[in-house]
Amino acid sequence: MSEETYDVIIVGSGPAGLTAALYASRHNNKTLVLEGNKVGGRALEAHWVENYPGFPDGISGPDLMKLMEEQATKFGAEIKQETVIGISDLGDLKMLSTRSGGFYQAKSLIIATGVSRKSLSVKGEGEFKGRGVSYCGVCDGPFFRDKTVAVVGGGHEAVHDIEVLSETSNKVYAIPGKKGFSEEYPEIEYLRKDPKIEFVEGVNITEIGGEDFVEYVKLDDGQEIKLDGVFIILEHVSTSGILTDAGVSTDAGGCILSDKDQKTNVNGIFAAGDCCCKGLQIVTATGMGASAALNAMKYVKQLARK
Amino acid sequence: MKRIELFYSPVCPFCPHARELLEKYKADNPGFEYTEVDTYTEEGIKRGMSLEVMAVPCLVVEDEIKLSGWPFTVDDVTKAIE
Repeated sequence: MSEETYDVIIVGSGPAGLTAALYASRHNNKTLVLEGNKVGGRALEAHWVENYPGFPDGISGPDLMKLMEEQATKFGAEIKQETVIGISDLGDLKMLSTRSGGFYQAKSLIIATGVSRKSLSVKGEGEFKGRGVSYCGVCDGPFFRDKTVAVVGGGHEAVHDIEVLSETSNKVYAIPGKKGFSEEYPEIEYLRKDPKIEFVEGVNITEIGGEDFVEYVKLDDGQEIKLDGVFIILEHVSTSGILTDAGVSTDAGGCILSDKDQKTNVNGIFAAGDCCCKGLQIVTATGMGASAALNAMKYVKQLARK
Repeated sequence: MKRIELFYSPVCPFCPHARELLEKYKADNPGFEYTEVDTYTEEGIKRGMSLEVMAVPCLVVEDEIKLSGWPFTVDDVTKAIE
């Protein structure tokens, strides 16, 4: 067990986590980032980022994240490769346990674990992977030129892929699932007017089928749709399990509930970035990371005055 | 020598990982060569569609799709090639 008590421990090293680390360490807080995978989070998957301020010609996701890592560690934030498997709230101290058997303690915590891709888990999905089942519209869209496809999912990325695929495919079925779209995305209004796009809402897919390649999907209302490809674009917050013991509240979809200061319902635990489901943009994640760190620092100062 | 092709797209987040695996295989197997096919070019997409490629990254050995769509491992690559 680490004997050290950190002022701030950040779980996750995407744009939110690294921004929080930068803010906390720059103000001389003893700061640790725990990351189970590669430092940089899902932003590493971004081929080219054109909407992050300060880079008018764009920058690759990996390059941007490398710079964020450099900037955070420059002020003394430590980064350790550790997968957090448990969080306990002991009042003024928060304890974290990791898969390698490590224990860490901190006065405040920032959860910035992002979202990860999720499978649909229906009959035929595994069988037809690469033969009509895809997980990336922009990557595999060209193979479905003038064909009929479905986009399954109700998040920002799914909406983006509906739009991208409608430019090349003959017809796109938008199937957000029974939960519907996670937000009232402004694009949806004009996508609904596109004659190539048909919204099939309030239903879930139960089966993907065909002979050698995908030929149809079955829905739970008994409908069958003939098509050539199914793009499964689902995201989910993967941290719900580790938050339960600490009593951190999430919504039904696992999104961490946080207020305008990024505070959760537990004193001293903050959340930032995609796991709060407030935008899924690098720039919003960094904003939340900064806010979480500033408020975590305030909280740590208040503890010291006790 | 076998004809080995890695189909990729410049916007595919997983394709660089597939390339890393092939480069690792290449480092362990001197003389191994493969061709990269960009599916965002007209020529590349035509070649892919002629082989019924439907997802990238995709490893094709002697015109036969061996691995299609991420993820795959270095062991998968070794099996596919050998």
